[in-house]
Amino acid sequence: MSAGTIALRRAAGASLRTSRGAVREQALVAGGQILSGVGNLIYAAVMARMLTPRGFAELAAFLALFLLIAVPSLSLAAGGALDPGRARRRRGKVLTASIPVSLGLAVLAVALGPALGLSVASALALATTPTLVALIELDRGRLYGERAYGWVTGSLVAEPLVRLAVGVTLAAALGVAGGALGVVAGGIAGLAVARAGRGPTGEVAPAVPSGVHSAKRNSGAGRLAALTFLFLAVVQCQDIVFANATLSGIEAARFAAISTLGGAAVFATATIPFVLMPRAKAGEAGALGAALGTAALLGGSAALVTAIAAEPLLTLAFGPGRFDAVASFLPLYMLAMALLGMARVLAADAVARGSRRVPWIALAAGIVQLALLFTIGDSAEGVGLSTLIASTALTAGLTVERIPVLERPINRALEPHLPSPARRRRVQTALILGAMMLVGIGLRLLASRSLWLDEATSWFETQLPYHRMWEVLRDTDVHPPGYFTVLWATVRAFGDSELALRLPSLAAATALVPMLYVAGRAMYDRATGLVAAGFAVVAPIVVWYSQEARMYAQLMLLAVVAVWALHQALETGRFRYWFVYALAGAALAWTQYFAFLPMATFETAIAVVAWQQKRAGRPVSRLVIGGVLATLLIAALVAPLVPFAHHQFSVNQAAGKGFDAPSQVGGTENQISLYAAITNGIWAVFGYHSNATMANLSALWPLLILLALMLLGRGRSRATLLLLAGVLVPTAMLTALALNQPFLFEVRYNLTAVPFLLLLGARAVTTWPHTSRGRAVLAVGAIAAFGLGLADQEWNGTNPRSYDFEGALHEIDRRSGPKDVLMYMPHDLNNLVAYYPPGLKTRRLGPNMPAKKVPRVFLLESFFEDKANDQATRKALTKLRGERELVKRMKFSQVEVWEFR
Amino acid sequence: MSGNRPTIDPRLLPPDWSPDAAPPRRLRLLVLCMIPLSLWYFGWLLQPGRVGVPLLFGILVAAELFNLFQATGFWWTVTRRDRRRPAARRAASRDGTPPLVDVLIPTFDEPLPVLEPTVRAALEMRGARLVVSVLDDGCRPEVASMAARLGARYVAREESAGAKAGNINSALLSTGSPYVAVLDCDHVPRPEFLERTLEPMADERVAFVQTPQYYANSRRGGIAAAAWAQQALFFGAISRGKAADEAMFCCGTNVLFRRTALESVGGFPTDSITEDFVLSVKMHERGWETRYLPEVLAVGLGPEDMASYVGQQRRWARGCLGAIGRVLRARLPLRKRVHYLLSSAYFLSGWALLAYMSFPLIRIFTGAQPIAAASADQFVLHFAPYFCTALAMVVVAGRGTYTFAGFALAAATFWVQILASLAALTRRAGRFVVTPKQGAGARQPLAAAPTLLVIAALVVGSLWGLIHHRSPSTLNNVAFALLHVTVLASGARWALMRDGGPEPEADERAAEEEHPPRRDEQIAEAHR
Repeated sequence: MSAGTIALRRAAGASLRTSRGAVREQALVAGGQILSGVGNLIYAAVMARMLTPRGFAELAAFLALFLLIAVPSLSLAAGGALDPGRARRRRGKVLTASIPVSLGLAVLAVALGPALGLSVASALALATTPTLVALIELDRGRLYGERAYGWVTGSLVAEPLVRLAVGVTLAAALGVAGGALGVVAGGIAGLAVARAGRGPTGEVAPAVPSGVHSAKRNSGAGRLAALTFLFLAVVQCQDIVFANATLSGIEAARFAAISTLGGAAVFATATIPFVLMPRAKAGEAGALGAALGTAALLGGSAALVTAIAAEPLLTLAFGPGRFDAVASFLPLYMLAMALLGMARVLAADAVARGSRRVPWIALAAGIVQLALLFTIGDSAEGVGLSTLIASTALTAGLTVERIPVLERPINRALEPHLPSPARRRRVQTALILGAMMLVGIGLRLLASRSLWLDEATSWFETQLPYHRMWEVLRDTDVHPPGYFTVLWATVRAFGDSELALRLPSLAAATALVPMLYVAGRAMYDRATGLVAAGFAVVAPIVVWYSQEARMYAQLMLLAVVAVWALHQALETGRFRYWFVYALAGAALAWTQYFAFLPMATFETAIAVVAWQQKRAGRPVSRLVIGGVLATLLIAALVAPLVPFAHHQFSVNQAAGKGFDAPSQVGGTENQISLYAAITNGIWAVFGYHSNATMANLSALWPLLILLALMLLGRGRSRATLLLLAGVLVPTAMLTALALNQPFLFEVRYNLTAVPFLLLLGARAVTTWPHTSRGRAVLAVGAIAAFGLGLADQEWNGTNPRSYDFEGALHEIDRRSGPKDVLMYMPHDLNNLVAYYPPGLKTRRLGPNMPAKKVPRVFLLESFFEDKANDQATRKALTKLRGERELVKRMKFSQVEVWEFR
Repeated sequence: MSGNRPTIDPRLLPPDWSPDAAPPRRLRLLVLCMIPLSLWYFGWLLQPGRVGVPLLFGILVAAELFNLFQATGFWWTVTRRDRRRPAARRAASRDGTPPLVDVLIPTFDEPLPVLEPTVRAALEMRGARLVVSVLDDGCRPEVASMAARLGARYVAREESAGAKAGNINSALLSTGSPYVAVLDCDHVPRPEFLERTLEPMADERVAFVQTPQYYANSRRGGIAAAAWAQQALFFGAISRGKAADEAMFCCGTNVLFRRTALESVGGFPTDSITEDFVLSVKMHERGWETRYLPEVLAVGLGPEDMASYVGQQRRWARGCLGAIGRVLRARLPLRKRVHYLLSSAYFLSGWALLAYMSFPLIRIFTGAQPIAAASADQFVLHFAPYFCTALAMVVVAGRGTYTFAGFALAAATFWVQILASLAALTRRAGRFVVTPKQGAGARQPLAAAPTLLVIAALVVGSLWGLIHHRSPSTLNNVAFALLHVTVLASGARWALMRDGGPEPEADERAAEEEHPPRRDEQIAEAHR
């Protein structure tokens, strides 16, 4: 056995021991925390029985305020966990700072009490809280830093025990004030235990050299941690404060019910980050995994339980029938809390590693949440959704912060001599990407158009209650529910304006820009990444689907995430990339069924790479384990979708439709032909254009010969082969499928290939010319070509995919009166007519014409290529001409309107 | 880069190419695909209903059939496998003493820095008793002095009749070793050159052992790299295939001859400018066998500017096309004859290219086209699989060494092949021109003037077409014209650049060599 192998095994063994130790510690402290929670619950239950309803309400208010003050104090625990020495030294300063606050509160007790719904005695008891919780958290933080987890657990358990013992006794004698004093007594007991506790070795030796730098670094990290957890506390608490301050009584109470159960979930995970911090600071592998696993387990379990039994839980907690209306929303809020718990773990890890970005990510999440609260927080669901979005963004931000390609040196003290050009380059890249995203958003907003048929269907489905939408999707649609769930939440958050409906697509297509950079940089180099990102800004088809309330933009984004993660997993063998690959793959499947084409390709690629490595005599076990685990995870995540898809297919088959052709497939005439293939290729690269333009562009096919010749002698890296496979294999599979179902031969079902093509194109641009000037010219030329394609696609009225329903219906609205009637053809336009209500009666075109007393009749027709519909329209027109006078014939893009009187 | 910084002689670095065999299974699979795909395309093309303008159709079919002949020959060649066992590793002499070898280094006007490393390395070759002769047709005193200094013979003729062939023949008269190695003056042999080439000579039927001509300056990019891409395909898959059929011909340098074989055909023929090619035909006629050793045993320099490349191609084209008659008359087995014909006829490709480039212009200006009654997608449907698989065959057989630059350079000198074939047809005598070993360091638009004229014609025709008829069919022909313009411009661009367009990346690599190792270290590294 080689020395390297022995070292690797030792390292693996050490990592395993670290993981086991970290799991044990997390389990111990989380157990204490849960016991503490249970103790508090019992205390509340006992008090509810001992006190009068009014008295219990006062005690509940007291407890809520106690908790509200305690949560920000957790930031002191975070600081102490990273710098226990500082926690010891700071005790005096904390006392100096907190005692005046307590005294102030005590002085104001008389005035504050009634305002807060407290008696003076309770208000005086509350006044002790700032000092008490500050000292408790300071000492608990120190204990975390010293890894004295037994003492932490003792302190956590002592608090409810004493609270229960003293509180019950005093409450019996003094009523509410006694209960409040019991809470204070519990706090003092917790403090006493924490104060007495000492770590096994005092302060934990840092993983880096000690000295002045180390002390300064510890101090800085402590402050950073405190700041971070302060902002996290804001994210955790500001929704309840906002709800109490702005919502009506009933709505506030509904949110309080959600928040209480959610608070319990987040309470269970509260200690996890602090247990993690010392290990993360020491750079121990496996600690983060253990912490994240524990947080995910606790948070996920809470979400799962509420998903399964929301109503019984609400009944148990608040009595029967009181808050059943929020039952459907409770799982989402629990998910938000679970995400928040995980975000706190990620933040703790980042802070311990010295990242300076984390507080600002937390602050940004808080600001986003506040903005959302003011925008959509007009109901309990709206407030909850704000928190869900903020905590999702927070978790996503903290996850992205961990991506190595974006990592900057996280600890200046450790890397004081980082060359400034590297820093400058990072800043430059960030600025360039930021500018690209802004331009991208601008272009996408500028290129707005009327909703079309499928989008109106999306809108209709999201108007339904969630469970009803699920049923409608399952019984009538042909797509998985992933995208529609996102859209449903978006509609709840932002309403159903065109912009709101298209927001998920816009966000995904905008995120595609930096994601292509990340993928391009990881798979090739920075220049390729930047050019690919630039392409994504103007690529016509990307812009098109970022302006459509359908799932295609997400599909493209997830495909890039999947291919990037797979490439990284194959190159580095790290399990986190396999994890990301599995998540992205599963998300792809939940977004669009045709995602199985690239996923099957990727799974085959994993097998091929493993086989090649084995044949070359290179170690393959890690790759196989990672690949198998990822595949199993994908299978597990996709498994719940299978019954849904099966039902969907069965219902559609039974209805005689199967997965029938969609209502619009563009100009391929539903035939597999070379022309259709070329047309699809042009759509994928240059977007949708008029038939004349498409004929002209198709005529340029000889340039493909040139492309083939130019590929001679080019390198074939693994990244290139992976991307090529991601383009060609799904295309071939789709073609094979289309032999049976020709309508499938359409670019929409192979959109995952588009970002891969952009990456390959970027690679060609950055490597084929031999000079930097040549590269620049080619890049600018390609972007200009995309830009031309985009301009023609979006603003040339002859684009056959552009349907101006909005213009037509608004014009009808302008010209009609309340007694007039609109008839439309085809019948599928019903959702569009409902979305752009023309302010008059509407009905599908049928054999019977409106009665003569109807002053005006409008007839709207679209999808002229459908001969049956067109014939029916012609027939109706003939009838109407016989009965009425044609006032006006109006033509809009792909829509025609006749007005009769 | 600073102008005066010393640079490494690339010939002293180890070669970065190895003529490994392409995966045979893949090649056979591709050939299996090619057969039905060729039938699919030609079956469609040769239907009577396809005839547009008969003359143009005839030209198109002729060009396509010529390409098919070349392609079929290529597929056939590259799938040939030499199943003979490698020669035993024993010295050619029977008594155990190292054999005597005359090493002939013909030179005419090449500068000393090019010549000296070759002579020095030749003197260091192992495995034989050497007599290294510098055959200087330039009669330069400095060459004589260098030869004397290094310990080589200096041979100069009073008249330079017969060019390189005459020079070698003359030297053969004044030497007597049983083996004769011929090295161009820019080809630096590796120490094991003779050890390896003498091994096959153990078979008394072997007339010569040819080794690849590797262009060390291809690392610098530019025209040398493009020329090397063509050479790599030839000295890789093609030469291996020829060797399998005993049809490898001499390429003029990096070759070891058996003197008796040379004498049996009267030495190098002086009536051809591709004396090596005709010599090989003669030897094969006499029943000699030839061998190809796919190892880089000598490292040389390729043309570094357009004029050099054009001169080299003109000589090869004129010589090989002129030898077609000789090949047809030769008493050779069919297989060998086909190999020779394939190699000679390659230089007719320029006519096919001219035809392809003319069609879009004719269509734009006159509306006439070779194919009728066929939609574009029908054409592409039949042509694309054939074309793409043929390209894949080149990629696989050449192991990715054949580049677009190599293709473009060959295409940009189509006119050289046309002129050479006209000269061969009219029996105008060719002139042996030594390929310069160093770039001219200046732009050479005249060396690519016909190509530039064709580009101009295609551009003007395209613009005219776009102005007059903006229909899809015109656009289709404009796209064809643009295809040709891009290929031709890519190949001709080096004529408009100084130094044959070495690539900036190559200069960056050279920048890493700012403090080059001492020459003796370089040689040691090169020979390691």
